[in-house]
Amino acid sequence: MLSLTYKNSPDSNWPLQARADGRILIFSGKLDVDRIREEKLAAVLEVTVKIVLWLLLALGCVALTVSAYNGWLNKNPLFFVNANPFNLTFYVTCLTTAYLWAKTRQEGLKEERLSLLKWGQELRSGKEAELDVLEFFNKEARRAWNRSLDVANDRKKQISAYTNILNSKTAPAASATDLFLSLLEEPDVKQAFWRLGVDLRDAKQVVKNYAVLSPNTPADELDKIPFIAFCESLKLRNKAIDPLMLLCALALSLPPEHIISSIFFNIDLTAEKLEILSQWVFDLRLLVDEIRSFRKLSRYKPEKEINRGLTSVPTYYLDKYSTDLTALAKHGALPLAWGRREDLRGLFDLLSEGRKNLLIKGQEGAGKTQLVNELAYKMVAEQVPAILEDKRLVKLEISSILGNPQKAESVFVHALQEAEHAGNIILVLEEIHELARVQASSGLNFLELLIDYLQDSSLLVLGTATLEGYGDYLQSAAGFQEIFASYELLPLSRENILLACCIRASVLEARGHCFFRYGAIEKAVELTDLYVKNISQPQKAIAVLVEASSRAKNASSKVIDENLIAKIVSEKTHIPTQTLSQDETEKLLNLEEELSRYIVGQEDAVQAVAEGLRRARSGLSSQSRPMASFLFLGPTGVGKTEIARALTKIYFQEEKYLLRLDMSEYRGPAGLDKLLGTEEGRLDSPLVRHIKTYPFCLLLLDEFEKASPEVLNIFLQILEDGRLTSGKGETLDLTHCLIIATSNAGTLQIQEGLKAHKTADQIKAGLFNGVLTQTYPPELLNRFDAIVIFNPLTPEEVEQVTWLQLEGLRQQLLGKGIKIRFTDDVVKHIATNAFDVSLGARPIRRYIQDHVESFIAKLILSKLTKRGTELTVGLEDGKLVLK
Amino acid sequence: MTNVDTKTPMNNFSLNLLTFPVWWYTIGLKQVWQRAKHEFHFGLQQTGLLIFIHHLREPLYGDYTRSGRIISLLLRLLLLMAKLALFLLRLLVIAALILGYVLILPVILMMIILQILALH
Repeated sequence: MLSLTYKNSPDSNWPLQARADGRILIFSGKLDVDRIREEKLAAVLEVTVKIVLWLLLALGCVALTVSAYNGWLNKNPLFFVNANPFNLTFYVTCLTTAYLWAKTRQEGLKEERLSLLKWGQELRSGKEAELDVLEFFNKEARRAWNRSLDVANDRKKQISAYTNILNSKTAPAASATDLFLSLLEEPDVKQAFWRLGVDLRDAKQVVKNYAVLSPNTPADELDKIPFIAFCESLKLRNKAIDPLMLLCALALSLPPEHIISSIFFNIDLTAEKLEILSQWVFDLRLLVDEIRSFRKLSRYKPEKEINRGLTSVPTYYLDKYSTDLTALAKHGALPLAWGRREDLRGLFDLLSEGRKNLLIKGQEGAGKTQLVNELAYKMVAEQVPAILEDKRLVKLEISSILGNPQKAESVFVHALQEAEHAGNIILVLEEIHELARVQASSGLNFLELLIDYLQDSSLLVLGTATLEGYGDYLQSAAGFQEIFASYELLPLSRENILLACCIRASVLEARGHCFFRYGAIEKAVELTDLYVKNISQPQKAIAVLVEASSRAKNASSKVIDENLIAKIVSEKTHIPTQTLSQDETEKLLNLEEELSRYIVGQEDAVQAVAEGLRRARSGLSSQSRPMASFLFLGPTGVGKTEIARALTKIYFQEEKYLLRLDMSEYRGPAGLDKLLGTEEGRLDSPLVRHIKTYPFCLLLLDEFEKASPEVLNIFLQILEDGRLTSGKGETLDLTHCLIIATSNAGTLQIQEGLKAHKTADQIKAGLFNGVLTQTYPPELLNRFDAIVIFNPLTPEEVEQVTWLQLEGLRQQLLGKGIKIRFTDDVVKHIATNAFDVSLGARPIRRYIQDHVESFIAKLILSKLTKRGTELTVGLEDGKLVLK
Repeated sequence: MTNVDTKTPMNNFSLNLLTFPVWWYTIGLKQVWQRAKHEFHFGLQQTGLLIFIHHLREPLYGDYTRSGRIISLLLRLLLLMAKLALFLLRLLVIAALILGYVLILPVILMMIILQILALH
């Protein structure tokens, strides 16, 4: 941005003047009644003069008609030289018409001359010593600026009404609040606030009340505003200073404690956001101008395959397997590109250097196809280097050629020959690296065929490739570097991504009759950045916007806001992207309580899991690691696996989000291949398949210590970077995974430690110095968010577990219409008989199944129970009985 | 750059009215000349004349046979003449408009003076 240095102005018009880029900026827009009256008078006079001149023009036409009629009656073809009042009137009006035309042109020229787009060329090096910033205000900005004095007057009247002091002699000084209120009346500003989803009535009322109640505002609030607005217009490549630029200047210059800054803070409106919103408006205007100019220039581009030089040859064969991009561009049928102008210039520079074939490489979705589309538009308008003039851009559809493998090679070569022979074709080969993966019948792959052909050919090829494809196939391909010049398409900046999405949103608005809130566009970029990997921006955000607009078509509300975008991303990724709902917030806040209904005696583990999940969902945990990761240590049957199940039930709600891997199946040399899958394998491994389908999930790794060291090493990467490369080379995102690994390692030490009344930390320290570091690499242990020790269950806790298990059975029977209750001695009996120190609470489930469920099954089958029966199961002589 | 504070609406208006013939033959004429140049280039683009001359010796539609070359040359010469005629017509119109622009003010003034003299 242009830097400004201020100093006091010697002129009485405005207290400050500024120096920018070697020029002195002054401002003559003093907010006083005389100047504004004079300006309004000038405008009225200007309009009046124009009306009079137009009337004179009309009068001249009438006079000429009458004179001509008289000439026709008198058979005098030289009627216009005859002396009569009609002819005199006509010649006088000719003179006034010439003046009118000159005046209109003068105004147009002044507007062109004062275009801030010319700052780099003429304005910076102009002859005038001083530039008056007011002259760069457009009509709307001038109107809003002047109106702020009226707002100040109204404010003064209101203050007077409250205080009963009327001092009419004091001219009111307009403040920032007055300018803000005045700007809110401008359509562009109104539209910007609508895009932000802000109710202007509230903002206006707050500012009005504040302005009346706090009348003593600093006198210099507006001093710098015109100069800052000038710099903002230059920065955002706007032709003139418009109301949005004045609003930006307010946002940039006012201190944080100012009421307007507070309003901006409350509606989450930063200066950067305002700049993007403004640039959206300006760029759209520029785009409309460009489209108009394109329509004019594209008129003479031939629609068919014959060029204007009449040298080209029809391409009957090629036409079957290709798309003429220039023909589509001529009809405006290609998606509009935005933000790649510099890259297009880069391509033209490479062509000017004489490099024949070009390769555009970049990440998937970075905009390679859009750059090709933009080139097609430029070729239609003939705004291209000489080598591309009077040429067609034709995209060869490789997939349709490869559709018939037997003939693919001959079709491919024939198409290349025909394109060369035509003489006016630039051939586009998208994803050119894919050619290397297809073997031709001659033994060469298609990329080698292409390179061979292009060695001695005059054909110009424009290819695109992903960075991976380039690295894997093209960089090392013999002869490729010699015949292709590469151009790397770098990712757009965040501002440009947002702007590209905004421009596309405008196109979608025009087509789908829907309206995008700015927040929706911002949300689409933000969420796709977080949750959609492997595709670059802006393509992935635009895909969401397109989906949103098609949904809005059939919806009752045509306004697309953040919620719809979050819903779409959530549906596509199976990740809850929406803002925490009341239901979810409550669930998270009461997670310990909820988990305690299923887990007995493991408070530390329950607390660790609940806190980890709360951190993740509130956005405080690292975005580049799994949502949370825990290693549960302890003896069998104490609830390690159960906690994962309970969490799935409570938080994820559906079993499909839980992936349980028994790590004992991933031991040995084949363990790694089984976990990640192999390149040759047709099906993905369970882990890869699950992460692809449900990236938001709970990954339960049972008996973690039994996995092979190679598998454990893979988890090092997962826990650190939150990503995994499958056997087929795809990168999977695990940042939305909750990982729980369970292990029996160190059970003995835990039990001994508890017997010796050691604290959990002491036991953990002992484990770290001994068995744990022998079982797991220390760096792996350090990467878990928490290592939780599960205590062996006490007899009371075993009884509680038994209660929980019987409750499950009770609920099951309730579904069949049978109410059942168990006496306390039944619970005690089961807890005593089923509990096994070495297996923990695990046998309780089996015991209930073998004894209680079998007992009830007999009752049901012997018709002793029917719907509505109430049963009490008790104990007599160590046996279950009905009471 | 002018300072708004130094001029009143009335002198702004009268200044323009008095100085407009000066503007007409300086900035205005330059504008008309630039527009004429633009029209000239647009005419070249519209008729495709330069592209056509560039390919004059090339056969039509890639027909490099002897007969093809001969027919192409003849056809190209015919087409060239037609295109040149169209372009020259356009140039004439442009030239007439420039001449008209230069002459219109004195002609109008002369006619006004003559009319006034004759009527009195």
